[in-house]
Amino acid sequence: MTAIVWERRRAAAWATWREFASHRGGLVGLLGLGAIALLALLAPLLTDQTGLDVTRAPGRPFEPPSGEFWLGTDNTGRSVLLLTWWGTRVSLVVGLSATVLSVLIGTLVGVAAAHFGGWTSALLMRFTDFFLVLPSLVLAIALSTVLPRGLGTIVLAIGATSWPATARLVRAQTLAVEARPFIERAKALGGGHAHVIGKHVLPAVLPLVFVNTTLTVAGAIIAESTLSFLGLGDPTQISWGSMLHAANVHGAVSQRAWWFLVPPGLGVVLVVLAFTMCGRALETVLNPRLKGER
Amino acid sequence: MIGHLARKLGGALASLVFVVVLGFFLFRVIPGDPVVAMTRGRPVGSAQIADLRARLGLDKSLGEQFLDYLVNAARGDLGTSYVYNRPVADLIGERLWPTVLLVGTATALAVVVGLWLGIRGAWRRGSRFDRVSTGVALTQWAMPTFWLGMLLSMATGDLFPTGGMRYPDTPPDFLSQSLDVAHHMVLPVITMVAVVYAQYLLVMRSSLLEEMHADYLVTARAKGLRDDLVRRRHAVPNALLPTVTLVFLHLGLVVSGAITVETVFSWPGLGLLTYEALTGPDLPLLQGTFVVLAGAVITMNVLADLVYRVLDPRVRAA
Amino acid sequence: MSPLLELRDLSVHYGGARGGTAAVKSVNLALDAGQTLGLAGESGCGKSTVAMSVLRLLPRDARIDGQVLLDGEDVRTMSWGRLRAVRWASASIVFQGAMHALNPVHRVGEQIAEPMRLHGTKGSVSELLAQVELPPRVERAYPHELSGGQKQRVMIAMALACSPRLVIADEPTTALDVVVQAQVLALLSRLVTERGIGLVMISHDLSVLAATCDRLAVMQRGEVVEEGPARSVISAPTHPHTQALASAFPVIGDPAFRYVTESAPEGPVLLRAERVKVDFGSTTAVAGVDLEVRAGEIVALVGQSGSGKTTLARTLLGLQKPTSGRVLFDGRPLPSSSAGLKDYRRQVQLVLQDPTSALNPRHSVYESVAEGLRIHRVPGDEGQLVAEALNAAELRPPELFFPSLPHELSGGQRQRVVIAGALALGPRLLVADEPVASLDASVRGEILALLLRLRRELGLGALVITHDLGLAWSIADRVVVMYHGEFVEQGPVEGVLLRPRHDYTRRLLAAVQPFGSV
Repeated sequence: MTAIVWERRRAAAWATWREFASHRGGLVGLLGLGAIALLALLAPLLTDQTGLDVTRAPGRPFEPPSGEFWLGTDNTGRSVLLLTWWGTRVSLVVGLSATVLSVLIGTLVGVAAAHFGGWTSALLMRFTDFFLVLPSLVLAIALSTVLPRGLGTIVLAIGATSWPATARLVRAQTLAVEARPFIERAKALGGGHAHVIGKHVLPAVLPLVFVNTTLTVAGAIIAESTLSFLGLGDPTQISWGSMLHAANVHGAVSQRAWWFLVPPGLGVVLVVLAFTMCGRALETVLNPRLKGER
Repeated sequence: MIGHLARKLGGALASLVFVVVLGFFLFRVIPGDPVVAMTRGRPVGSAQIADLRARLGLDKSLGEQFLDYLVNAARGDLGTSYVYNRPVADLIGERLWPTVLLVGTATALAVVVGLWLGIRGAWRRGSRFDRVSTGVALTQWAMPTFWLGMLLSMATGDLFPTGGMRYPDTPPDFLSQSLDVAHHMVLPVITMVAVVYAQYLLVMRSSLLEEMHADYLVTARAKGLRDDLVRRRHAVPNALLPTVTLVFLHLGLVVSGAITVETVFSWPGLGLLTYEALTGPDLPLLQGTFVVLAGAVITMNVLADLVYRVLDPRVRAA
Repeated sequence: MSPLLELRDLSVHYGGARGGTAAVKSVNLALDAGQTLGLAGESGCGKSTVAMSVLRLLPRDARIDGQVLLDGEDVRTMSWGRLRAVRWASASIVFQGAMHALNPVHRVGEQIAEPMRLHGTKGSVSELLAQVELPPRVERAYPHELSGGQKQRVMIAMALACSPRLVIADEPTTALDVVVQAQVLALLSRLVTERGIGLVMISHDLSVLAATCDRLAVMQRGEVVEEGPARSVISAPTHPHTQALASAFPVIGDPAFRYVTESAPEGPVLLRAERVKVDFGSTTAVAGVDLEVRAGEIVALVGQSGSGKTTLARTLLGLQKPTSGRVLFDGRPLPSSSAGLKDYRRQVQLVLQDPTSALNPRHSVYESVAEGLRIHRVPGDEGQLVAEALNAAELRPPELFFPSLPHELSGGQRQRVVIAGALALGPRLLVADEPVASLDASVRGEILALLLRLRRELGLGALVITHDLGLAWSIADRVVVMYHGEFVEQGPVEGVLLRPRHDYTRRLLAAVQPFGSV
């Protein structure tokens, strides 16, 4: 019996993949992400980490691109190419961890708010609504100012402020699933909370959560770059945001040091765009309501 | 309607109070010792620290501090800035209007551009226009606002001023002053619109696409209405309603945009004030901007909800 | 003179270029002014596609072949401008589901006046509203402020706005209560005679068409399988599909439609409700009723939507707490603890109205049937128990159905899976909420026969909840009529349905009688 079930699941997964692959945007996004992730992973093997050390900067400040420094140097004379390459790691790690935190909180709150009913869920929903309206960047700024600087703080600040959107989505989806008669049937069969949530609600909600996750990563990476740009990042780590922070503080704009400005920003745009394209393609595949649209 | 209004206002009031409480929690409780946080990485004498403690009222118990804070906040007193050595409320008052001017102009433009492009794209879904405009919007959406601002100011060179709100030597008459402000506003507004309109476009587009399958559109076509009338009279009014709510729900994004844009262009508004406060860090000032920005967004949302009530007959009756 | 509407060899293909699926195949039909033509068929038979092709309202990927002649002019070859002029002015449509066919943000009056303004027709909205027996204040109302019957009337008023010579009504009474349904049908018939328009009436329900149509065409899989005068088509159908459709709408009082052969056994009382009352806030859904169901007995609980019958069923199942009163099973009050309720649910099982949504679309047949077994940790070989349950529900051979997903099954098969899932737990009572309402006419009989066989072979008692008196006539031993939360009449089926005493029962019967009078 289980063999048949597994075969069916494999077939379903394959069909989902085939449909996803038919969206050119999603496929391009996925390939882009794969390439960027690979580069980020291989950075320690392909590059020399000592070039990141300010005290051992190989060039002069604000050198334009040349044969030696393909993308010029920053305000301390380090290679912008090297910095951007290594910045990928921090931006991706922070974006992904913050998303995991955010999606976890959001899913728990969303399912709880929809499933149990009564005043606890009403309270949970008010709480969610409150945080949904609150400008998340302002809250994240407050959190990262009062907490000690570090990657952990950034992850916490982004994760703890970006969950309400997920919570609302999950709640709406849970409510939609629970309104379906098969939930009534499961209850009439004698199924309790654990059965209803585990067998019916979560399997139906998780695909949407997955879609939402890819879109949340995009938001989290922008948020990371913004916080770091404002100088709230980890001062010991190089990320795209912290590079732009340095560029802004040290007058890259007035010096017309475009080579210092363009690469880190372009990195953000490419990664965010790739995640967004993947997410949108997934959304059309997994969200039956959107079939045939977009 | 009256009952709903009362409920909504009550809810908003509760939210505002919660913002104020959250402000205390964030800036007094979480940091443990705010003075340590504020003087981190700076050589400060013990006399200075004691002075700062007394000024912030840290010598009292947490409960007393909380009460003082609530009473003061209710009176409109948000404490004293540590960097400026002036009342936070005064500083915020000065910086409020430049932000309203910038955000207001940018939002209005972004709504017009975004909705128009969204409607056109959805109606001709899959056309070259739709593909290009959606693609551009997605790219814009992926851009950090401040990065776009920096690129723009570098690319335009001396064409537009890149800092502040007006030149000090502009004649004081109204016309020259207005022109000067407008001149200074060009780049910040373009930057904000470029990033924010994408959101509106995408929301409008998908909400209209959803509406396109509605049965009443078939009715409208069957009546013999021209295509553009079907769109203008029937599809768009229905699609606009969910868009309005979403637009206001995303107001927080506009505020985020304001903080970074004002930082890049040194626009003397609340965003720049926030940046100055966090670089201090000037906790009383940051607390003040936090409470005011969050409170403003909550208030705008209540307004949006009321407008929505008036616009949509379905909820008007409920 | 050419007929008002003539379809010549009409075919419609969906899915773009050649090779797409055919929704309509070579249909030939004609209609003269002052006549009513009925178009009958089950869901998906292509009848709505025919309606939409008359005004060329089909989606862009539809390909139309043949001719659609409106007053002798082919709609297919009209220019856009000419087509727009013809739409609504020459022919209008009363759309299926008035709920969604009206624009929610415009006032009703505006929507009725819109085509008049567009086509330059003179007339007044309030007059049109009066014709469909609506008060003038409706003009200022928004669609959501009106009841289902009122919205349907608004749709009809809108269809008449430009005095078209042809009106197409697509399922104009579906989702309406029987009493309102009869009123709307009477209204349509009156307008046909008074205004001399031609009416095309589309429905899955032969009794609706019998009441209003002169001629009748029956469609199946895109083809017209039988056509002729309405009377002869219904009373002496020649095509098997028409026969199946006709038999699905039983004639109350006709022994041929009474499937219950043996008299009800005098078993012990299984389920008893005592003065059960359910309030939702200030509204009372169930107003203190007493009910008994014996082992091996089939009781029909009949009422219109909103009568409280579904709430009562949920209360009997322990899914809803009564405000006062109590429910006894086997003489013992319903347990209130979740463990006790779980045990109770092995005894009493629920069969829901719409099997499509009652099954989790991601679960295979095997998983759905085994769900109850797993919840209750029923000992024994799971596979064998599932197979037995499917066998009992006549899904044979069961192994063939194990891996199927709901969307791969027909409606009747899905309902059998739901029944098998209930049977797997070996219950003593089934509560069936409109068990055949969402099924196509041709499979209703099979499911009813299955219920009766289960009663005979397993001694299963059943409480069948329905709005359909015909269904009660077919399978119930006893019938209970519910109105506004109260039982207005109950007793043996023959007694209540043939000699009704309460006024409401008589109204219900009158509303479904037109068919019987053929």
